[in-house]
Amino acid sequence: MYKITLMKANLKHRKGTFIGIALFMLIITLSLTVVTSVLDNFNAQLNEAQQEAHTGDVVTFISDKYANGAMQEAILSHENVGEMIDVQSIAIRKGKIKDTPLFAYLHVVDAQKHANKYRLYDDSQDRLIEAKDPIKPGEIYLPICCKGMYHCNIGDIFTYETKKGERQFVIKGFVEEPFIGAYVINVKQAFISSEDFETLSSISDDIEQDPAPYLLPFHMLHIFQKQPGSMDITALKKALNDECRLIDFSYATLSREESCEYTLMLPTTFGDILYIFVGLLFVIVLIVMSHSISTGIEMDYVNFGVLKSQGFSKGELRHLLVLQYFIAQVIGTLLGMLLSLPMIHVLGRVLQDITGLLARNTICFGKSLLYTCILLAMGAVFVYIKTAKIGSISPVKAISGGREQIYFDSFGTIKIQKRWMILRLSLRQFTSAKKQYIGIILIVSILTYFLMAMTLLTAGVEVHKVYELFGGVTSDIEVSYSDYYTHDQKEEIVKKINEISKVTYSLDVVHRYVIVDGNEYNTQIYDDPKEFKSIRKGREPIYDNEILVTEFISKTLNVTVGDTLTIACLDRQEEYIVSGIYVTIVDVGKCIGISLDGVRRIADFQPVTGYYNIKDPDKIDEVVAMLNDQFSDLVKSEVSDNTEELSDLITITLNIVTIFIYVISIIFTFIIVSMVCKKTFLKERQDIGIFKAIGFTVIRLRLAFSLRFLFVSLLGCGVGVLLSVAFNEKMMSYLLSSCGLGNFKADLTPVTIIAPTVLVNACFFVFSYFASHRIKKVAVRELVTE
Amino acid sequence: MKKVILQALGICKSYAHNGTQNHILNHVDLDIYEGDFTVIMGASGSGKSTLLYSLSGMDMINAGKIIYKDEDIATYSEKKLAGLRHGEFGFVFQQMHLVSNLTLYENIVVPGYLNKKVSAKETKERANDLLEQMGLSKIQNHLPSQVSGGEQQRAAIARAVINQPKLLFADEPTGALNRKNTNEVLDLLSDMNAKGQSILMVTHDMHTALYATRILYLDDGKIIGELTLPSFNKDEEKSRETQISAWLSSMEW
Repeated sequence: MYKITLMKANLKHRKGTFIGIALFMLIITLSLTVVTSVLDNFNAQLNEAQQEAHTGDVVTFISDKYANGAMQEAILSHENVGEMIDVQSIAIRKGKIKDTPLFAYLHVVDAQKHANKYRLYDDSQDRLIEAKDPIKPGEIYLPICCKGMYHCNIGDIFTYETKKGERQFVIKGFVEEPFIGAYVINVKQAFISSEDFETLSSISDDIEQDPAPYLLPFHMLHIFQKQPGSMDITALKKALNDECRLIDFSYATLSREESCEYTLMLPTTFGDILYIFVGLLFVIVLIVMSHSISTGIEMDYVNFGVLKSQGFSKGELRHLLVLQYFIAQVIGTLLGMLLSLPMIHVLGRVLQDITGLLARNTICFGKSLLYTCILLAMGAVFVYIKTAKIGSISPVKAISGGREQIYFDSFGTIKIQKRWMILRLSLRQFTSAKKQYIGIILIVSILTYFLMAMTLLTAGVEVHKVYELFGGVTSDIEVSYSDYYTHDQKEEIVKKINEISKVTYSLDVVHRYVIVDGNEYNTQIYDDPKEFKSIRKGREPIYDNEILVTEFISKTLNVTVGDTLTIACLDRQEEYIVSGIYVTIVDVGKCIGISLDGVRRIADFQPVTGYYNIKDPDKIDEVVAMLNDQFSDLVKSEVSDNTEELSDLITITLNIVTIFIYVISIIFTFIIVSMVCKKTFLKERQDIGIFKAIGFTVIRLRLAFSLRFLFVSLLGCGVGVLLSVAFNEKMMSYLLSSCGLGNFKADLTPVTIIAPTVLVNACFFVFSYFASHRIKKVAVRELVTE
Repeated sequence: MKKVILQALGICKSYAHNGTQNHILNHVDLDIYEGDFTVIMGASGSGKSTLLYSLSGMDMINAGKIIYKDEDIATYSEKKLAGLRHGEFGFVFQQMHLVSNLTLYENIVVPGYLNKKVSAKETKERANDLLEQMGLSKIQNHLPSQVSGGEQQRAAIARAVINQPKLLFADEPTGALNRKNTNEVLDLLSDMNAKGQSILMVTHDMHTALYATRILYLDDGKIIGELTLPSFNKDEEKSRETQISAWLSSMEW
């Protein structure tokens, strides 16, 4: 009973502190529960959707030309293959959805025949529904992420090209397609009526006769491992490549694991960023609690002495404190969990367009509770350790004279002068109690560090340069070459462009899959290897026996600069020396960079895309028109919009995550400043009274009070910037490695440094100024000893 | 005829406590004269300190006027009151109340620096003179926690007079000191008064009151008696003590 009485009194007496701690835990639990639940929901949704769609363990895209009975027989007879489902598709090569040209093949599938491969969203995209009526000829279901990729909506037109002219589909609805339906996968699967599928099949091109087909008959072979399976899926994929020559005939092969990895890649990365942020927030909470406990003990020194003199043991007093902080944390945790529900919906909806999966609105209680319990336990242990000081309070000393004498540290003290006196007094207040502010400096440095990380990331995505940094190509004009184009014709094209405006840069590119160590990897083939701009180690592949590999391949195949790799394509294979490690977003980093001369040692690949920069940007349209006119059989040219893809949905999502982190940081700063200012104010109340008595105005005192916090935050920001310079690249590289950006290059510019530091400092100054309003209430009369 | 430096006209002060109004000052009329060492005495709870804080503008009154230089300071804004505190009045507290993280020297010069009419150089010179005068030169760079109570109080007096105030208020300045330090502080105040410094002090100690040239007796929020004395002379301490004692007895002290 005595514990309850004391606790009630203490909770009432220090309600500000406990409300602050509860708010911190609310934010942490809310963030943790939202991230955990959203990731868990998407995982569960993906698994459920893939099971319902009966997605194969390995799915290979094989042209109708090769997917003959013998090949299918070979796959089925493989010792590890249990089942195979053939989903026929027509790959549409050219077309545009609303106004945006197709990024890659769109595989249209018979919706009625393969009704289990998709689930229909309702018009508001809030739930999955049964179609009211079957899909009619002329209608198409698109994966939901097409909304973001192609900026289209229900009722918009998808126009595609056939050898018999343009045809159209009306978008009837959007579907959840759990295999290649994610935003990060360009190749898409769409669903049409049986009648349309038959029509398209009948007019599809004969790829043996037609070197530039528009409609390609394909087979998506869903291959299932024999149950009980002993082989992991990667090994199965490798075995199929080795033994059934899948790589030689397939356009691409994707395992279910890879599909899941790609689908959840961005949510997982954003989740990882938020998890680290939440972890750092918890460190901040511990620092705040440490500060609060220390000052609390100092302020209640006499009370603790009195309680001890009345028979309370050190242990009982410590338990009491632990319990008080624990209650505050538990209240915050429970409220955080409750409030997470609407946030789960918001974040889920944002990521729904990226994953293509329906966002569930359920709280993942189990995991979230486990994580928060761990945090609560850590918090309780921390408070217990921090309250050890109570043991050193002697009842006699406490009652007779109160706390021990304070000795100020004279190190770094600034002389008090008439000029800038307020500034000097603020500095003195800071330097004479430096230890008290170490915790706040740490907090500010952590917040600055994380805000800088997010600013670097968002600034990076905004800038065109980052596209190149991540292995992309930027240019004024983008040219799609037809199958009749050969690289020898480039000279003529360049000559014609030069007649309009001088070509300052040109690059021919093609991507092709090859076999390395039994696994297939994409290759990024440049006619000019000097244009590989994202090399992090080593150099570009100057000679035709050299290649670049990504960090992922370097680790997977255990090779580094100077090592050799054997690359095979069809029946030919050659050894190549790794000349460098580079970064690319192509195939989420599972890619090899090679020169056109280099790849021609194993295959006669021709470039499919050309990039041109010209001296006079005003002539771009003229050049595009000339190319489309004079080289109509060779090229289709357009003005480049290289960064559009990156700057769309991913940028929006990244910005949302960044805004979330900024907002949380500001709220945290506000709570921290309020708590610390209140404590500082209580400690310095008498000094404030003295200053008032000798003629200081309230404005001057408030200014001095907030200037001190500005110094503290400036120091913290300095530490944060240093931490950022030292660790941000490493941290972001680690976090982004799953996206294939294992070597993030932080672009430290005045903006990326100034923006977060100015924000943190401004918050500290403004919030502490507001918090100092209490100074108004201090009456000089409080100094009177009656 | 002595010149009135500060005038209280019917000042009232009350505090609300648990729903009831406690009247501390009850229509007090009072003149403080230039050059006087005025002491306010009274029983505990009589309102001495409240009167002192009200007259110095450090506390608000509920009614009445406090006239200083023909202006009612009770109507002053917070900014004007701050100016009054560092420009016109000086204040010495019972508990010294030096800023704990400033040295004795800094505690003295800070209010001087607030005074825009005086240069920094002049303030420093005045501070050094005061430190010398108060015997604090050797310990001027010590923090308050590193010196004795008497030394702290002397520094507090130096701080109070750094801007050469027209009137020095002192709230039981010897209340927290031992006899030796008490005498030192009172001698100092007496010397300052002899040089023309007007002083208004509150005390409940008869020994302290010996140094006054005028004693006012406060009872239940009203001034009920006044005793005028010649300047303090150590040789006449005994007879002065008898005189004051008799007078205080008549006040039912």
